[in-house]
Amino acid sequence: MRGRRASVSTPLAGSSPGWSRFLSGFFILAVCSPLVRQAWVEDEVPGDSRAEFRKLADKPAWPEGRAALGSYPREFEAWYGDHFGFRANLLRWHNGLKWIGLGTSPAQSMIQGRDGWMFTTDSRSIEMYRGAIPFTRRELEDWCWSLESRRDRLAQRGIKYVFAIGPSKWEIYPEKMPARLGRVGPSRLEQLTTYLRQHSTVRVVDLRPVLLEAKKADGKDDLAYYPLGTHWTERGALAAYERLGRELGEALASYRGQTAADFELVASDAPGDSWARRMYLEDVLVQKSVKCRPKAPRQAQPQAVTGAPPRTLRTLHPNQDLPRGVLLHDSFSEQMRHWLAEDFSYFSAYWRYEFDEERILGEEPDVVIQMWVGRALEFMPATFMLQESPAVLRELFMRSGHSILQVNSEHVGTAEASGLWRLPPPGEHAGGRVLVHLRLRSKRKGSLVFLQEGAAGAGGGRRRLALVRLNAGMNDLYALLDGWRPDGQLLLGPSVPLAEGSLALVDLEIREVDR
Amino acid sequence: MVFSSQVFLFLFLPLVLLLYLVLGRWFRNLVLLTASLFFYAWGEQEVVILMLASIVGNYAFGRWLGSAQERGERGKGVVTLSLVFNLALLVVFKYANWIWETLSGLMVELGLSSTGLPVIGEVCGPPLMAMGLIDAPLAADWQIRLPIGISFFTFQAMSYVIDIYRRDAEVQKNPIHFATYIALFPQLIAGPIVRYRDIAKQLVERTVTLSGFAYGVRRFVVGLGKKMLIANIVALQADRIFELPLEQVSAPLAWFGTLCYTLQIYFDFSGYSDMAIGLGHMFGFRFLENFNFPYISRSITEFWRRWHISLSSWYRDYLYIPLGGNRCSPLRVYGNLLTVFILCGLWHGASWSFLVWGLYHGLFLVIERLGLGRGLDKLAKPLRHAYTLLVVMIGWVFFRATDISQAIAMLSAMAGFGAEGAARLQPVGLFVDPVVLLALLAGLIGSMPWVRTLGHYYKRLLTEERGRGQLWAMDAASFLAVALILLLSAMEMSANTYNPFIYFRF
Repeated sequence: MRGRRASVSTPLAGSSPGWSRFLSGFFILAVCSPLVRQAWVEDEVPGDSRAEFRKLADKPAWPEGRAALGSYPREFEAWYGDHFGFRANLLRWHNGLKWIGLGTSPAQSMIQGRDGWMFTTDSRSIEMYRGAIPFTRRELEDWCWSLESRRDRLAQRGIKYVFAIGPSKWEIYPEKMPARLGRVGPSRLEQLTTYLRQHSTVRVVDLRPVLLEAKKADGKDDLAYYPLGTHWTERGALAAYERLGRELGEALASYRGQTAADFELVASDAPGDSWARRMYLEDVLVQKSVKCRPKAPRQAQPQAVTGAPPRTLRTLHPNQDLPRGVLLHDSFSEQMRHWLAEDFSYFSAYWRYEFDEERILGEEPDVVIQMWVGRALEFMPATFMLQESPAVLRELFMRSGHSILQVNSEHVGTAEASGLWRLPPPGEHAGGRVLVHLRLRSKRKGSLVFLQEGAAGAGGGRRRLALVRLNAGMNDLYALLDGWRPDGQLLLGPSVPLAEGSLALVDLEIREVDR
Repeated sequence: MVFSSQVFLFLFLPLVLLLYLVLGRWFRNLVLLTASLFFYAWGEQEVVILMLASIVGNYAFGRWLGSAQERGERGKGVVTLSLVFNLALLVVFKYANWIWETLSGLMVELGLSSTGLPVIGEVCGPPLMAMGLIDAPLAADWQIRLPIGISFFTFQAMSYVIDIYRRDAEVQKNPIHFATYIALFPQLIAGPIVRYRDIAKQLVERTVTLSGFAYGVRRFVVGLGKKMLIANIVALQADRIFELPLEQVSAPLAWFGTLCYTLQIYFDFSGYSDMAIGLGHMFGFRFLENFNFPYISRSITEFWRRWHISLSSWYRDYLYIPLGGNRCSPLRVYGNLLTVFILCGLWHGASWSFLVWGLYHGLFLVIERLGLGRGLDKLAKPLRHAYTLLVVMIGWVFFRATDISQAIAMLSAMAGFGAEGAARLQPVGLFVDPVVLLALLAGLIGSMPWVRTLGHYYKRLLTEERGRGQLWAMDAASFLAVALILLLSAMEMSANTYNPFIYFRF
């Protein structure tokens, strides 16, 4: 090291006094203006919470007590960040500069494709498009197993089962994806449909061919998918509905679906599914849509629904010769469910992934349709449906003779402060997939979580293996644990902390899965 | 609170500036001290007590040392005590967790224990409970919390006591002035390390001039732009690449990730320094420069004259020279260099990666002294630049990696020993879009002293009568550039609060 003296930061000789005054004044004005605007323009909504799909942060109350004082700065910064003056203007300029000026995305959750098309990055969509996260053979087998189990379970009650996936936009418009995102393999949907076609007889509707066909009829403002949204358009949905109808017609002799000829296409100035509003650019990024209007008056009458999940649609049709149907769906079937309602004498549409067996069987449907968005192939575990079928798990458990661990309340002892029980180490077992049968008393409804703790204790991290629903009273439960490592600690307990004594474990047994 | 947040830029800063400029000069340090303590407590809450303890302790040591020197004593005992006090703060709050874990692992490795030491929470819990500081036992994963900026304010405090001991500075008897020096918010959390003797006079007497304030605005805005428009953008790509499973990292991607990190760390750190220097000017202070375009260096020795200058000069003056500096046997000099750079590495954080990074740089300094430096002098300039950048970028891999094994895996990938097919699975194109390209371009241009050259040209124009028109045009361009950078940075900042796509699960 040589001796040296760092230089002192000195003002650049320059900037005439006039410019210095101008710059200083500008800076003070610039940093004060958000404060002034916020103080004087009380009624301004600095950000549109509906556009951003979230609730903007509330102003925190003045802290009282040490704990509140600790969290106050964070809460205040969240509130201030959401409400400072000129926020909406700055956001709009930011998004406009990036989307329009630079042709790129202003947020991590989306990308801009060719011709200004928007694609979501949610649920590792880009990796799925590229084929970078393909299903393993095991996962494909599990999907097949799950779907067949559900189909067979329903078939025992004389109910047909149809499963469909609403393809992601890039499955139909891959040419709109940026060229830099090279594909390295088939998408998960492609893999699953190919596998099921070869290995299963379960009715899985592949909607891609009809949507690709619908794409051929695209016009300027009339496409099969929304360029600025993630969903199919009503015309796209209609193509999917017709295809689904053919499948239902094959499954149910009494099913009479509608065709495209029963609808008229009407151009609309409404943007449909567009993320332009979320970018505060709806006046710049204009998207028009085409609505599908049924030619005949609607006959299915919506019924008041009580005790069902939110956004449930239930209809009764005057023609009681039509079959009864239940649809479990997500946003891809928002429009389609109203069309399907015309095809059933009794129709229930649940906007959810969970399959409430008791409720659904109670509706005595002739068919259960499940329609999921393509991204569900990433965020839904392959065994999700199995977890929801206690009867299937029970049968599997009974069939398996190899018990790995049996404990009762004495073995388990008391729960940790967090309410979790640590299970004793199991006998000889290589790990992987196991089934748990347990009985426990719960004072209230809730859910029970199974966690795997790393070999290094809590420092090794905890991974959720399964989550099962709890009822008040005695629970007789089965859970499929995937990826269990016997060298780590298995914990179970309520998913949210409960009061002491809320849960009482009676006994528990773990068996190897034998399939 | 960070400078690049709305709360700082649009609330804290205008209020403090207005108060500071409106109130008379007698209140200025009081305003700055109150603002600084609030600034620190806002982010660190009760940990502000630690900083207050450092202020009280070092103020007392300074007064004690001053009294001893007035009595004709050297005060070696006092300065030693003060060093023990300051280093103890650092060891306990910055290094204790790491030392504890390392010792625990070592005991297991050596077979002295099957489980190692008890977790640190078990050891610290009972005494804290006995003192009534906590109500319940500490969690199993409890760790001693690292107070932000502790390395900066502790090194400043140490420089104060040592400078008095060396009679390079006078004892500061006014506690407000002294506390302002330690807690001064512009450089509190990210430097530069301001030595007491450099601003002792300014603490008592300083003037806010129009040209100084305008210069401060320019420096602050340029720093903000470096952080928001370059560092944050390339940081995202660096993070994505360094977080990938290593079997997915190809050689081009590993180099690209390292390039992004190379630009990120420079523009982040020098951006903060620029903001600190700029804020200092707004309040009438003149801080030392902390960076001098380090990536144009032609050797590692030169790099360390340009990188984090306040830290390297601190180590030079308070450790390297007392250890003997260059005035001892070559072997001793090399040993001193390695010691200083290992400690320099550890200053950045308590982990083996930082230690290795420091040792790595120390080794290159030694090798350059052993003859490589003379060899480099004979090479063409581009080759010397290439050598320096290569060494620095490899060093950043250790700095960025979560641990040594990740660093080695990343370096293997850079050397072309990555997994087969990785380039196809994660091509570089996945990480590049127009914004990233612009940030990279701005980073590459901003790493070179173009603006300084313009500044020199500007100075020349000042002395030439015929250059008035050009001068006006440059002033106008400078103003527009500052306004544009401020606007773009504020837009980026607003986007950080904008998270519209937390997509409902339908």
